[in-house]
Amino acid sequence: MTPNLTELLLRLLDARVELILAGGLAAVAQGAPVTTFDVDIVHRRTRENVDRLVGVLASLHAFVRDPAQRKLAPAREALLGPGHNLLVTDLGPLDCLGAIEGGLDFDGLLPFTVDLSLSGRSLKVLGLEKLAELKERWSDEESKLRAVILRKTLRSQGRG
Amino acid sequence: MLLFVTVVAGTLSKPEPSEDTLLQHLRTLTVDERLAWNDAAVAAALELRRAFLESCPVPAAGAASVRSNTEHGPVFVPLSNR
Repeated sequence: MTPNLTELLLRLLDARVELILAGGLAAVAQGAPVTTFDVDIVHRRTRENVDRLVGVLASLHAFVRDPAQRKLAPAREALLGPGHNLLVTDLGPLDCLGAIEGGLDFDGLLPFTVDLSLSGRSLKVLGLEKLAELKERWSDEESKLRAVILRKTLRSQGRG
Repeated sequence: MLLFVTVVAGTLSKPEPSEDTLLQHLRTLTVDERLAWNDAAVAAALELRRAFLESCPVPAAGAASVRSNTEHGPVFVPLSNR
């Protein structure tokens, strides 16, 4: 199965799932020279929105990435919480994050988002400045390297 | 890094473009085009990985690595990384 992360994102948007695109794909969407193998979203944790998310996940045969290789369906109650739901779908890996570093959830991240257009749909994306700031907090080498690339992207766009 | 060079070479028809060149190029793309670029990069990387692993023979019992014959010569792949 070859992932199609764009189609995965479009499915979520077409189902009116309220989300903020985060992680590597958020950086890609804003012109950073990085690549990523998964979609990271911070979803709004209302019951209505989680129900819409669960519907899309079911249609894409999502299951939890499990070291024991069990095929566990994503749990609605888990998606209502602040934890990280790391999933595999028909269209590629999808991480549904209830909250990220510092307990920032959908509403907490909204001030740091930019609105982009993807195939005519409105898409909220975590801004490069915040993405870089979050990466700089991590101690691993890959995160530090990615933060440098994001800062350079910001400077090239006259924003850093 | 291999993925970076491969994709950039295919996109810009230059073997080793600078990062500045790539940044300028990405600025000219739409969001749809940037995500399509990532999808293409992922597909290429997975295909490279699949082809590479398929070229590796079944290891002998107790072997620490296996030999893979590539177009650039033999490569020994530690089994712990397979």
